[in-house]
Amino acid sequence: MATRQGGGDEEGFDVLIRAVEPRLARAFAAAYGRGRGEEALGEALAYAWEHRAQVLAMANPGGFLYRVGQSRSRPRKEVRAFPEPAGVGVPEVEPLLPTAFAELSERQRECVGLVVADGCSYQEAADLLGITKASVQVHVRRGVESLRQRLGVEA
Amino acid sequence: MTGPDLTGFRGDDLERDLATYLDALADDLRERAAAGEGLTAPLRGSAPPVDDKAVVDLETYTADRPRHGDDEGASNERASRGRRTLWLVAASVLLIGALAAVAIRATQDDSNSLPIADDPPTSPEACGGGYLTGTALLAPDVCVGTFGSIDDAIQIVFATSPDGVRTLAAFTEEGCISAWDVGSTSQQDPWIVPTANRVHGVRYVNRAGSDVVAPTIEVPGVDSVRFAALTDRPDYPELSLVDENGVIIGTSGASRTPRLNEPSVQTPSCVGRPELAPGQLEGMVREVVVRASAVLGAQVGDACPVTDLEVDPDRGPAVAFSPPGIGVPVNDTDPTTGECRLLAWQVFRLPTATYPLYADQDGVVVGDSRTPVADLRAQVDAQTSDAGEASSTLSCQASSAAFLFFGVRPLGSSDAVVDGVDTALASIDEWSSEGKTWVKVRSTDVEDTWELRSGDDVVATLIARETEEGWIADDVRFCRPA
Repeated sequence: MATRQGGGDEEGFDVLIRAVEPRLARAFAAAYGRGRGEEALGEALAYAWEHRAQVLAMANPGGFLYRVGQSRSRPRKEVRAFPEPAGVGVPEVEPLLPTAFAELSERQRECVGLVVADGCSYQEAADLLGITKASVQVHVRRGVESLRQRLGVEA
Repeated sequence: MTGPDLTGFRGDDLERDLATYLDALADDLRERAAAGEGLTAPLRGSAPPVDDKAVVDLETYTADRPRHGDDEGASNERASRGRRTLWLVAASVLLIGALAAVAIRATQDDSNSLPIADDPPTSPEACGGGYLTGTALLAPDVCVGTFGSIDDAIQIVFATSPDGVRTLAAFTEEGCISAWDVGSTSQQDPWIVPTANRVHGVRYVNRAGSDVVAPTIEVPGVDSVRFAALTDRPDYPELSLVDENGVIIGTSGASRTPRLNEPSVQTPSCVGRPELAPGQLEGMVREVVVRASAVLGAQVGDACPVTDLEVDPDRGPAVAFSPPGIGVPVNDTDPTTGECRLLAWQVFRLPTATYPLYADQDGVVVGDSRTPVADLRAQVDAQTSDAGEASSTLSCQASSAAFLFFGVRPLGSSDAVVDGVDTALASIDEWSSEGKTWVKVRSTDVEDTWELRSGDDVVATLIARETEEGWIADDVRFCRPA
């Protein structure tokens, strides 16, 4: 692979990645879990590097890269896309949570993950996911309700 | 919390647990991506230092590689080498966690292999000039085509994504990637010419410098690509795919950035030596009929002067051609259309040149990466002195910088008169005028062979002859002195 772009973008790329990558990782983790989530994150970052000049000039690079990761990763049947909490080093978390979370729709997982877990505003989540703020609100509400119902959690 | 505690689970706890869990999962995901999870154990920790130079290990292309039917160990080694190659490519480009993505993409398949569709659609128009095969290699929005194979074993796949990014991948017979490469058509990556996907074969030079030529392959549904060639340095393999007109439509490995003063050929043998028997060469043509018109701006069937075929002024012509005064030998000129074809290509770099020169199978220089050799012209003026002594003056005009360093002396005529130069190296100032370089030699023969020598590096032999249309230099051969 020969990417011979200008050498002045590396610093900006680092800044961009530091700003965008954590949220991307969390969004992909929520949407896909392991497997496709890794692939989507890697693809998004790879694309960002290969097209850094283009990406750096974008108004919403996070949203763009999220869609890159979505489109370039392959749907798959993961046995444990959402592993047990102990499997990711947080045994204190409710063990049934991953299963309940996995049963949400992909869009609900994205929105709940970004808003509830990551602390995004509705608008920030909407920008990243490329949907409207109102849609994010609906998905978050329904997703959380579903989680509480599945886990028997009181509101 | 170590177990289900549904009764005690409250809203705040749910949010907290969710945040904790997704944070941990994101970290896990990030770490796995960075570590290349999914690669086989021997590969982990074996990645080379990240380098901004692209290195494609073409060893797996070599003819002496293990064949199908070898024992399991050899097969595993082949697969491992393919994956390692993939890792090499990935590591050369991606600097951060992106490094692992490419590898993961190629290895997360259950079988650790990437099958190629047995019967891919053969319509180049199906998707922007590519093919849709359903291969697992790329995302669904990427067109993929299978263009040929090496020794019927390694499949070459060329893919074009909607945004112009191209991927070249080679697969072993087991379906494992043995090498791959990605480029784009953007201005930042000018080494791929966006033209029709037409590849017939692959020629390459492996790291040891041995020259391996893949068979020309007819690809159903692909129109008339005769040859694909490789540019190479022994320590820096480059795989170039060339269509029938010599247009480089894809290059793997390093960019085509000129490498000043870096010899490309280590062996003392001649470069540009015939790969086909001389008897196969017939006829001389002065122009090339363009058929691959996608980039060149010519219509199929047009007979256009090759000087019109420049693709990009910054990149220079990516096509070799028959310049005025220098014929391109062909073996199958179509008498009805005048169509000719270049049978083979040699691409090499002179130590004193900053760009590759292209030569045909007979060592005839037919182009370079920057300047049309059309500017290399020779004239021979026959004269008879008052005393009745015949003499001739050969004038060689070239705008190619390679010639600026050539001194001149006649070959085979020790009594020849050299116009002020005898095996001396010429400087640019001495030999250039208004962007042109003139070399003049004078001989007592009206037809002669001239040798242009560049110190100890390269010998260029210019052969001039008289035709009905006058004197032409119909052959320029470069080779290294033994």
